[in-house]
Amino acid sequence: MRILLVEDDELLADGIVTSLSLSGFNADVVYCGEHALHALSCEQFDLCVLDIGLPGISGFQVVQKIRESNNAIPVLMLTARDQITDKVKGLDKGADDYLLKPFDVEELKARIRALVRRAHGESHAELKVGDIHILPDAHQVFRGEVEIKLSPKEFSVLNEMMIHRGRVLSKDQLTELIYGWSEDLDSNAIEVHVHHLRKKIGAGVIETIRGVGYKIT
Amino acid sequence: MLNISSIKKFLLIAIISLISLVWGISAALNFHESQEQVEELFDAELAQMGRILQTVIAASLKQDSQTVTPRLNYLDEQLLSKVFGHEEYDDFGHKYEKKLAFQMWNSQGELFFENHSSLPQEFSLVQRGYQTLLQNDLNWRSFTLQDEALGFWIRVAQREDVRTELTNEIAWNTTWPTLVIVPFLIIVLGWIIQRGLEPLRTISSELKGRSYQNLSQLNKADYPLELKRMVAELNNLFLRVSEASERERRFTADAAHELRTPLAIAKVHLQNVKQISDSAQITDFVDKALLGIERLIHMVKQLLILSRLDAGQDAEVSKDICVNDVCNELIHEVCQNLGFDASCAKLQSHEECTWHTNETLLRILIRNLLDNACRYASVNTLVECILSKEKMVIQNVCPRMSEDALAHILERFKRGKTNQQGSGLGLSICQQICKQNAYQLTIANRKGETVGIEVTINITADQ
Repeated sequence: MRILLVEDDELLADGIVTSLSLSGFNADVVYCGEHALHALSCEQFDLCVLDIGLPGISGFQVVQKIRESNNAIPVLMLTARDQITDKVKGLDKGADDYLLKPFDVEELKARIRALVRRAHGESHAELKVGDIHILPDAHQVFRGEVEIKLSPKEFSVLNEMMIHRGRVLSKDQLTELIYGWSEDLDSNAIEVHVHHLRKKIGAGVIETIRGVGYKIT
Repeated sequence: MLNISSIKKFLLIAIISLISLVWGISAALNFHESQEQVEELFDAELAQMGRILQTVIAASLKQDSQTVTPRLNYLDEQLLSKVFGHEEYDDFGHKYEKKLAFQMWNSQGELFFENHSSLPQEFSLVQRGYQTLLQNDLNWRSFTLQDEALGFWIRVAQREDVRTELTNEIAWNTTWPTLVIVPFLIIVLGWIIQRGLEPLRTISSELKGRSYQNLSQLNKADYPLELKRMVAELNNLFLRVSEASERERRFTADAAHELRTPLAIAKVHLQNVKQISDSAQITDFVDKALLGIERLIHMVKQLLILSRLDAGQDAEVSKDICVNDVCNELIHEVCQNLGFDASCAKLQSHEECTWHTNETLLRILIRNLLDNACRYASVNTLVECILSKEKMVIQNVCPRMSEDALAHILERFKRGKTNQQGSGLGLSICQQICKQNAYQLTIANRKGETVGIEVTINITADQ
């Protein structure tokens, strides 16, 4: 799951990115609103964690511009402003949720998962396709009753394909969703992960659409 | 400088006093002047009557003869008695007809006719012109003249008391309409002053009806020219207070940001360390550090709440709130936050209690009181929240507090037991909220057998 973190405080951004990475999220960070809008217009993210007090354009303006560009990405506002008026303003501008600093990272992760789930029309935390189901919160994958051990990247690839089930995801899209800007990767990294996944969960679950990408149905 | 407690009263008293004084002096002068004029008139009439009498008598005497002792014929006597008689006026007369007396002396000084015996008859007292004569305790105003041709003397006189009575009556008749107008004038003046001060009352009502957060400008166009300057100054004051309040609000918001962000940084990194640590010792240290951070976060939150309450920023529209629901919700929340069993606190209420108040502040108030009661309660005891329409009593079981400690319990940064994680601001916040809502907050040792503390919020003072 790829997350764009927009936070001007580098220390805090670093802590959040680390925390999200430890839980298998792929988090990229930008430090101002203009960069956030640029990143969102160029690349695909599952969710945006947005601070309100940013240099240049504020978080309120960023979320407004995101919605004006018809981008439906879930936006979680993360801020130190605790006034009801600020919360109302943020939600009215188009934010989906609001978390007040200082927060518990577990709460942040839970809210991120809930927002992404809702964005994909899921009401339950568990994702299920056929006899394969995954519990994103616990980072667990099952085929039937048997738990399958996956590496964090393999889990992320499967999780993205389960989230976007029925849709073809290209290698580039999967790369964007799984890897952050700071990570170096081989050009065939996705193919390697898909190969390992097929070996672990069984062939026939992940379908290759030649020249386009992969999908789970 | 004159101390004016009420402009209306001042104007009414000052103007009415002034008008009464001026009117009074004017009436007195008018009365006096009227008296003098009437006296002059009477004197003139007296002289006129004397001259008429002289003419009549001279004509009568000429017909008779140039006798030394003139005699009036019977008809003349009758006529004179009729015209100058001293009886009451008849139905065809007027009440102001003078009761005149007259006397006549010949040139030798012998009295040969008089119509009234009360006047002094001595010729030695006779002198030309006006005189005031005293005879038998009666004052007479007289006019005396001598006929140059025949040499006889005529004295025409009026009783002073009759003259005075008539004079006073005429003078009073010219004065009383002036005095009668005064009460009407006072009533009209009162109405005019009341009407003139109406804009002041309008401003007063406008300001009285405002909540303390309402710093909107008064519309200058609604007020008369004389008040426009005052309204402009009031508007300036509102603007300055509003700007100061906005600065305070911004400062608190900035402080919130500047305090919360470093706390978030520390918390996130500590939680990351905890997540990746395999060492139980490191985890223990991190937990303690996180506990310290949590206490700091709590204190910052309380400080911000207090700061906003002091600045009157947490104002929202009051509405009817079911306090039973709020209490149940907060009991659950507080117990959960403190890691206590939900049964350690309980709401007791026999009715649904609806209070008209600010929900956010009410929640902060009840949460803080419950939090305190639970924190300081003895182990395995029950915190009770007894609710009625007029008041709420939160009581726990704990060691008694000294009167000295109770006296200082609402002071800021005053904490009970030092091993508790409070900031020492919770009760100060409660006090501030109660002050804003005109609630009465009392904290005391419980009465009866159970030893503990009882906090009472009485809302009846305001509602």
